[in-house]
Amino acid sequence: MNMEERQFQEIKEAGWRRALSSDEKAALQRFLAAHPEAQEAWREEAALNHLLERLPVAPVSTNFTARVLQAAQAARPRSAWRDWFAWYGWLPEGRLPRLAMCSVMIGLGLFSFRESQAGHRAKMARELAGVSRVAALPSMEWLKDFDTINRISQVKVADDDLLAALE
Amino acid sequence: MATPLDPDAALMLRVKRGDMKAFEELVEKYKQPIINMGFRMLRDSDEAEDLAQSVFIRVHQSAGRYEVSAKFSTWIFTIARRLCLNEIRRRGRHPAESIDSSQGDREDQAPRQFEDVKTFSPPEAFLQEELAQKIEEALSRLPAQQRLAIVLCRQDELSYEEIARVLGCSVSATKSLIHRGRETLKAKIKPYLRSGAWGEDDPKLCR
Repeated sequence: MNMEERQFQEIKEAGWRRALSSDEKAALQRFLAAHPEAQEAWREEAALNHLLERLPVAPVSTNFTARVLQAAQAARPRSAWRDWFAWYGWLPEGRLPRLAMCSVMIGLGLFSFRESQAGHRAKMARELAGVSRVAALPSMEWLKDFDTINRISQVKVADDDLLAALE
Repeated sequence: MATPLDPDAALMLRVKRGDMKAFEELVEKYKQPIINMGFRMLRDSDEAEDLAQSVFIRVHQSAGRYEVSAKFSTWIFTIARRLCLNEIRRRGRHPAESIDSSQGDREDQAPRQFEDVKTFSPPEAFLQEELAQKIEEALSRLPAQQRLAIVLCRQDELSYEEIARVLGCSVSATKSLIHRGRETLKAKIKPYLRSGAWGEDDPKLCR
């Protein structure tokens, strides 16, 4: 894009928003005289600007401001302390439902705390029971012939002489 | 050198201190542009008013946290844009519901009152109305962001930089949105543009 074209583009962009200044109009005339092929495009641009400018404004009710002021008074801004409790907003509307919801939440919290405490205690009890079973094992004196007894249990053939003597 | 305070921001600082008169001044100044924007976006004058009312209530509710960081007009149009797009999205999800159904306090409010205004004189009324209708229709078929860019572009208060801030994109992207939207509009109303029916004899057109 050369300098002239850039200037034309800037004039077009200015025309999208507002009426052109006298300097801009003069620059436009010079550009269109030098580039007659751009005249059709400019005509369309100008026509669209004109139509957009003349679009009817939306109707506004005569008591709009009064209604807004009334609504703004009704929806007073929240105080600073309530901003601290912004999370509170997702609770249901109304004091009683909120109280009920909070009670349920606190109840659930206490219940889960008690459950976790009970679980912890049960785990401790199981661990203590394991320790007590270890304490109930035979003493070391009983275990001194363990190897001999163990070997006897591994003899596969019956000792006939011993059996006969025993009879 | 300190930049002078935007007069609307100064009014907003008074609203922050609880001055309802300042709030009323802001409502008076911005009601027409915000309702126009809502009307072009939602194509319903009642919904445009409801939207504008929501915008002003948001402004009032946010007054306590308001800090002068940008021009007031940029801020209020950004709120209006968000509410417009939310409404368009909501309509997409629940096409049969009106914005009224989400405002339970309507019964407590005074009914709307309109002035009886005639916009065009009888001889040119028909053609101008037809043209206005054509362009409104063509506008309404543009993608929301292009339509918004074109509507905001006609707001005297906003520069391209500010429009870009409202739309949440760069200045070049904003100009591109406007350009593409305008090209679509031109294509749709080309026969009217070429016929000169839009009033090319109007002296104001030498622009």
